[in-house]
Amino acid sequence: MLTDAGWNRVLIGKVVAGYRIESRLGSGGFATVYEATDIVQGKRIALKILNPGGTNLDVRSEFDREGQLLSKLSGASAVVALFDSSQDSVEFEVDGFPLQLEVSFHALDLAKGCLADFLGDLPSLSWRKRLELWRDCILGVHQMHLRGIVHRDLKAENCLIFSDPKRSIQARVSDLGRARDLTQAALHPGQYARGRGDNRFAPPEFVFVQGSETAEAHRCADLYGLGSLLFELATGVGLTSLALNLDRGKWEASWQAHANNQFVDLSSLNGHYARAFMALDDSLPRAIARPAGDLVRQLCRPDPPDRLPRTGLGSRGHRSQGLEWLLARADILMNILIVSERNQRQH
Amino acid sequence: MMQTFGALLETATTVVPQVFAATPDHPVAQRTPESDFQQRAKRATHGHDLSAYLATQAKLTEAVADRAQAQALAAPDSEVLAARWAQAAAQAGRIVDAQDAAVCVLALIERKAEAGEATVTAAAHVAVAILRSHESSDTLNMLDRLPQTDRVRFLRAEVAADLADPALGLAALVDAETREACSLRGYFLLLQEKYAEALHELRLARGYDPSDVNVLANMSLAYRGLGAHNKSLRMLEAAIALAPGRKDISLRLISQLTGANLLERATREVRRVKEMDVVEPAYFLALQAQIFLKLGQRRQASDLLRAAASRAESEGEDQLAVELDANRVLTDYALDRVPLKAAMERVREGIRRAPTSTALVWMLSDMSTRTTMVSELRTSFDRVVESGAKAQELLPIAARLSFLECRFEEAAIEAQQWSIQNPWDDAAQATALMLHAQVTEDWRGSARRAKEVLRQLPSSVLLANNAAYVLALGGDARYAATVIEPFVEESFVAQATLGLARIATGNMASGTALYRLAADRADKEDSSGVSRALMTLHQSMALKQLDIAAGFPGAHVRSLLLPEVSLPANWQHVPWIQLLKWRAAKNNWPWPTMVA
Repeated sequence: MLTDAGWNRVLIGKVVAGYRIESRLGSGGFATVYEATDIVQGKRIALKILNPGGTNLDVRSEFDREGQLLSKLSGASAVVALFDSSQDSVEFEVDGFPLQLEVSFHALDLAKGCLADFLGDLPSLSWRKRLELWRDCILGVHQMHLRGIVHRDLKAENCLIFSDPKRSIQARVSDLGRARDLTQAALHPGQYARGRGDNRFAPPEFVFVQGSETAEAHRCADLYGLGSLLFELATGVGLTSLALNLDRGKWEASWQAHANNQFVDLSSLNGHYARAFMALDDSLPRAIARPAGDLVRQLCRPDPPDRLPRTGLGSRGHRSQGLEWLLARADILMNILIVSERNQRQH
Repeated sequence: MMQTFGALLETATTVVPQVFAATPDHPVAQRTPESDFQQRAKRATHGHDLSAYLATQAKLTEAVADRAQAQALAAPDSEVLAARWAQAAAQAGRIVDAQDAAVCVLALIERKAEAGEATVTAAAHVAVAILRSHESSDTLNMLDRLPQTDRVRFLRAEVAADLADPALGLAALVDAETREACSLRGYFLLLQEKYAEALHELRLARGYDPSDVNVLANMSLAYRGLGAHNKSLRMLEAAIALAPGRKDISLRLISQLTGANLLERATREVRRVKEMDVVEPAYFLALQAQIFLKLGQRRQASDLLRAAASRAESEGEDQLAVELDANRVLTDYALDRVPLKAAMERVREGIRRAPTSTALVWMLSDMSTRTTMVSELRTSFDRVVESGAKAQELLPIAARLSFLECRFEEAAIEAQQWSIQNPWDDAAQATALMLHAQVTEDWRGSARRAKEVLRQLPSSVLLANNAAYVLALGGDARYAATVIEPFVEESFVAQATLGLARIATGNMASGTALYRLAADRADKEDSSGVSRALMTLHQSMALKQLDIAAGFPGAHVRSLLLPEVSLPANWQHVPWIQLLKWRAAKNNWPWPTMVA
């Protein structure tokens, strides 16, 4: 079994399927991302390689599925671009004996970082920039939804930053390990439950294991993810974690309760969320405090159907498969902010 | 004629009125109909699959915590990264790390505040939330060192809620006018039993957000504290309409409806909750048993109480388990499955195991029918008082104790207070009616009150009996007869009361015949002779009071009435006989008062 350090020693400097691995960028639970160079084109890319321990069926299928979904999303401007997804073998020596190891990889667009990099010094990121980046993420999820894909694990760490010639930086949605293709049946029962991502940002129906497998339910989970992302950009911390004061005991207990047929009335969590939103109110600029606060509250309602936009008196639902309505709301927020900043300058 | 003091069995399962915390920590566990998918998902996560999943997830959370820690350590001045580390560490089960990080967040905010630098207050929220789960008093000290902004004061109030310190919480919330502040202030005022002030705050909170279910539930408690039971029920129903899955509120509604004898509505709500396929906790089973008891279906009640006691034990609710078990034995006693001595012994055993249980002492008081039991009941009662039980919940026991100690005027006053506090409780109303009438001998006034109570409450055998007795002697005997007639088959006491009503209307033959039938039934059910003696005494005193016998030839009347009996040997230990002796002395009647 290779350790992280051993794995890095094996890979750095090696060529995998025509990509020379230069340095380690970071790692998740089951994969490590390296900076690499495409030998033929001379282009710098990110190579996401499945860790050697990741032969577990779930992990393997999650990694493969991410490749398939990214390939299906080819051309989506606000989703990280996939150039290649394949397997190759690398050779290395242990005590003088040559060994070969199979590696699975995705070759991806090389990012400058992720949204989470800004959280350590939030005041340095202007609110206008935050809203622009958040809108990019909405656009990415919108593009995914239009192609029948849901993300289900949105958080600042999973939104990468790229250079943009027009506005210096742009955010793109990445890390589709828990994403689902709604046009295909679930791969196996329990897949829904397994792929719930980071609980600090997960919607409560994932934490308490009681969402449903409908397309609308998955899209509602993404609405929560986008609301939680704006909360994170405003406060720096995880909404779910704060609202539910989650620790390991609690999320494990929720799974045990699920196995014992016990479920939680999600509407009973409204009070918990109301208190967490107080932290948001303190963090929003005055000009957009009300509309942005209301929007996050709507997107992050514990009961999934309540997150949808109003379609009439007393009814909520999707007007279309995409998120045009949310993009429009983000535009309105930005316009309010721009006008307010202009007014401030004039006065 | 004999009255039942209060309901013997129906009053058990007393549960201390709960206050809905404005900050409930545990969402209500319940079962909802599962989709096919959920069932498949569950099967796939059972057994090994579940442990494998949890192990995988644990590994992920640890990787996340490692990353968050590295980021926080790389930027030691960032309270946000420290807060993110605290959240990630808690998620990974590294509680000590999470607490250290939370302390670090508050220290950073304190330092930055001293230096006049801006801070992100959400980080403070995270830190306090994590620290509150473990060490609230230290959290308070740390919060004291921060600039006392509105938010910091609110966080102090939340810690005060954890410490159940309403005074501290209210002090922290002075001048705060947000929805959350009003709601929390209402909660603290409820804890202080300042219902009118609590209601004012809760109304303000409701104005900010009419859909806040906790505020509605707390308003229901405030209304209940103010004696506005209809409004209290309406608030609960409004809360349920907004959150139909909130089982805790449904249970509260069922409990209040059952207490008010609105059994049909209570049963409907039970059915609705059961349709949600809910895991039935002990308390829910106990409520269902209480409904069956009120409906007189003791067998079903006994079965449910047995199940509830066992469920309470498995839930780790030891005191509730003991209370339910004692309740079940009392029900079995009423079903003749268990002798009285064994039932009493079980209640005593329960009190030994849970000496501060109000419900058990209430049961003991309900079974205490002789003055010889006073000292045991007094000891148990004093212990419960010392444990800090609310005076309001102890009123029925206090009234019973005064009654057993032959302090009848005090008993009547306490029963009156009990009935005012519980306007929908038929046992409270029935007891207050009877004791007030006997002690004050204001039969006409008592009859007016009886009519009011009968208009407000659905009738039960106990209430109908006492109301009819008072009405018969208060000048409305015809109405008394219609009130008690439906219950004659149920109880020989009711049959005797109908006899009294008939006599009071002047129908001596029919009335005395009913008395004789009732006396025969009493002899079969009570071999001690106490019931027959009481019946004879009541009959004689009623005739004296109504002055009816004078209109009939003496020998004829005597041939119709219950024959004179000598008092049982232990009559001095029977408080009801003592009460009649006390009344006889007041009226200068001979003792024992007989028709002759």
